[in-house]
Amino acid sequence: MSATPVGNHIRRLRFETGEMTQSDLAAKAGITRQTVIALEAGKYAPSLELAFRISHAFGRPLGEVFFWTDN
Amino acid sequence: MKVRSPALFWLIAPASMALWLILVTPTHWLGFETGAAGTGLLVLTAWLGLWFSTRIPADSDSTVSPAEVRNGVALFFSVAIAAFLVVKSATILQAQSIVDLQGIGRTFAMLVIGWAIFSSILRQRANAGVQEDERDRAVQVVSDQWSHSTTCVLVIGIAVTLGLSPATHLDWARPIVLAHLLIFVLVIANLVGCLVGAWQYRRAGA
Repeated sequence: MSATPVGNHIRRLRFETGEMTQSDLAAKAGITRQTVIALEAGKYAPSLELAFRISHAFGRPLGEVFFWTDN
Repeated sequence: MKVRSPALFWLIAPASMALWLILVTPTHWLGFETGAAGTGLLVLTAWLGLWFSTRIPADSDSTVSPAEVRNGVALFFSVAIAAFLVVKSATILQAQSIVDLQGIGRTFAMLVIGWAIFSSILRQRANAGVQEDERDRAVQVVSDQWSHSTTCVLVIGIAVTLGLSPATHLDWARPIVLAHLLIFVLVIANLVGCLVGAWQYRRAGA
């Protein structure tokens, strides 16, 4: 569960979506707030299902929330 | 999770007292069973800790998920039980029948029951929101693998020891001792699983 090649724009999107709190996003995606923190820190790669649920919470396509890093 | 020092004192002091009663004092002291009293105090302290945690607002800076709290509780009780068995190992090795170990068995059982009750309370906490998600389940899978591997290695170790040691070196291997040894293996395997879980949560750095 160290740095993952799956990056994301969750932190930026939260602020662009009416300053959504981590707790709000966690409730919408059905996860704990600590998992949101781990995702934002790039230390956890979500399953495809969770990635879709998070994208759905922002009302954005998957590719606008998650991206592949070449590290 | 910010806990003020006085609150921390009211958790550490009775927990230390409880562990002292369970691990250090004789089985019977001043007319009462110390193990049972210590276990009761330990469970009460754990409940107090849970009560303190509910006083912290849900949207605080806590980086500890409910599943990580449960892993911490399991780690705490596993360490307490393992330490208890190690401290009482001399008594267990000398026991000829289960009658010699009644005080030890009762304390051990109360620790396990206390752990089960406390874990159940944690799971049923009202207004706690999502208790477990896929990240917690991923941690659990790795912890279980380590726990299973530890059980296999230790049981094979015991089997090899019993099978290959000369009979003269196996005076200690009475059924009652072997039964406690296998219980100890299960406790250690669980302890390893909890440690791996705690390490993974720390590594995730949530």
